[in-house]
Amino acid sequence: MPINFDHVFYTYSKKTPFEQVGLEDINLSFNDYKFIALVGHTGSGKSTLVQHITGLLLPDKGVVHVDDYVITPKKKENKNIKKIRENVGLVFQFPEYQLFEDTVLKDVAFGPKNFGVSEKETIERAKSAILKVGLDESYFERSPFDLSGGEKRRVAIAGIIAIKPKVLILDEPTAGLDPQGSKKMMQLFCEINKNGTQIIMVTHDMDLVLEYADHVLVMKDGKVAKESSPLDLFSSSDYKELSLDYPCVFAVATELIKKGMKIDLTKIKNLDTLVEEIKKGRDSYE
Amino acid sequence: MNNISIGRYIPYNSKIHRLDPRLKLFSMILFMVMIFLRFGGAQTNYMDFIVYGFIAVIILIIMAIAHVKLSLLFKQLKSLWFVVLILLIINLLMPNDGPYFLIFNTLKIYHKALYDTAYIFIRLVLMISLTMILTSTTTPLDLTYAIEWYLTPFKIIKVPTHEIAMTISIALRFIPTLLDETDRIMKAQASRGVDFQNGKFREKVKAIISLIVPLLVSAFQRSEELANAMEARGYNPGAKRTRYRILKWKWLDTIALVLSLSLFALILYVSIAKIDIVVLISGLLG
Ligand SMILES: Nc1ncnc2c1ncn2[C@@H]1O[C@H](COP(=O)(O)OP(=O)(O)OP(=O)(O)O)[C@@H](O)[C@H]1O
Ligand SMILES: [Mg+2]
Repeated sequence: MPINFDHVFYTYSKKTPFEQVGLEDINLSFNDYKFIALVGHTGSGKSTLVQHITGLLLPDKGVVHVDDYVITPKKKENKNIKKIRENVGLVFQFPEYQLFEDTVLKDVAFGPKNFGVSEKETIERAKSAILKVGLDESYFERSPFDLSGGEKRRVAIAGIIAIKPKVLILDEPTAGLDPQGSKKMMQLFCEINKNGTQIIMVTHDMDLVLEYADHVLVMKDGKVAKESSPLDLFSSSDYKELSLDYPCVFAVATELIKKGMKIDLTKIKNLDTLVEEIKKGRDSYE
Repeated sequence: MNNISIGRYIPYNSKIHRLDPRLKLFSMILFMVMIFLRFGGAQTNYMDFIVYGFIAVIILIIMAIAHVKLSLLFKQLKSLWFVVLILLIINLLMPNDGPYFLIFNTLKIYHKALYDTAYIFIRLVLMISLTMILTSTTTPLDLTYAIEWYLTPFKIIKVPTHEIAMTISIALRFIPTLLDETDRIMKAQASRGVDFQNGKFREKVKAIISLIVPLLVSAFQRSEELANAMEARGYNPGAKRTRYRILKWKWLDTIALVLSLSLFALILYVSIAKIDIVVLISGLLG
């Protein structure tokens, strides 16, 4: 779904001593990419940016286009926001705080029900979403408040997946999950992505960026500091000035290259491909 | 949804900000009493408005010194129009006598009804501006210190003053946190299709529940965490405690105290002696 930002400005607590720049002159177009990573320093405006896509924050100046809908600074002009939210699902940073129903199933069904999906399909969608996020049937009737933090996170994510949005925005979905769990979660997102849902993911983990994203957006002080493919970002030295980390797999590979091994960085995406490249390099080394 | 800056401390470094909180609290009570006095004779009612005008000018001066913006006051008054409307209706329906005029040749509008409405409205505005000056120039912590200081005499009759003060200060401390939390949960639920503004009654109730439940859950969780943290650091309500910030009475405070007391004496005299400025001036002239 086409998403465009046109000279968008946003300031928190405007005209008070607490004034804080959120976004500054953002111009973007998300049309051509399937998996977009949004990275940047803490407080650089990533969460602010994604909240503009679903009209949770209205710009002070400028316009956001989502498909055929327009989000403008004036509250009264934005009548179609609910339609946008049906098409663009947003999973918040720490979404576990949004649970409120007495059973997990009901809570996951809450979203689709609000968007007018029929009762029967709602239940079906909710059940399949819960299974997808890696919980089993025994969770359907449990209270969401008795779950562990990670399980709550899964339920909250299922609650958005059940809406079946065309664009899925994830604000640091794997923060605080165990390595296995976060890997499973990423596999799920990858699968959803392959089935045609565009994904915009906020993250601090550069290895995830390298492995999954086909486009990276680096934010700094409320502005877009750089837009490129992950490979371009990490091959140039820009990433250092933007205070980003270097992906671990790249760090290992560059060390080996320095030692004289022939490794093709462009082929490396994750641990498995790194191992493969090292094997190839080793053969040529000997 | 955001911009909830009403009733919040606003960090400037004005003379009013630097005054002793005990003095500020005391002066505010004096002003409140002044507002509740009645002025002039029984028949003439313009004296009330003359004195209120005088008090309003003084409040405006204090607001200017304290950097409290008028726009903030108006923002708060905007939510008051409904109260004024109800007041007006009640006053119009009250049986009355005295002079009146007719509208639509049938409806009797008594002068007194309009007068009473204006009278109550002005009092409300004055009281709101006073509390606004107090809360925006005094940190919640200072305010509790002041309250605790005033409660000290009650220690003799075994009133747990320290506990009361601690409870108040914790409550005040968590107001902004809870407001932020509310904002966050509202956004998360809005992403799941909840419409907090429009909708039928049933939908509205559901919307409110989806906000209240997570809010309560997180509030309880927070209070438990706080209690544990306090206990872990050895907090004991019965123990004698020293303080980081010690209230110091300064020259400026004495001056402010004298000023407010003299103003209070003047207004009290005007009220008790039923002084009528118009009669006074015409007496002086003639
Ligand atoms: N509700 C708010 N009120 C006032 N200022 C805010 C609010 N939310 C965010 N800000 C400020 O806006 C700026 C951008 O915040 P934002 O949450 O978009 O950062 P972020 O890039 O998501 O950071 P993080 O990686 O820590 O999540 C920050 O400087 C922050 O202090
Ligand atoms: Mg964020």
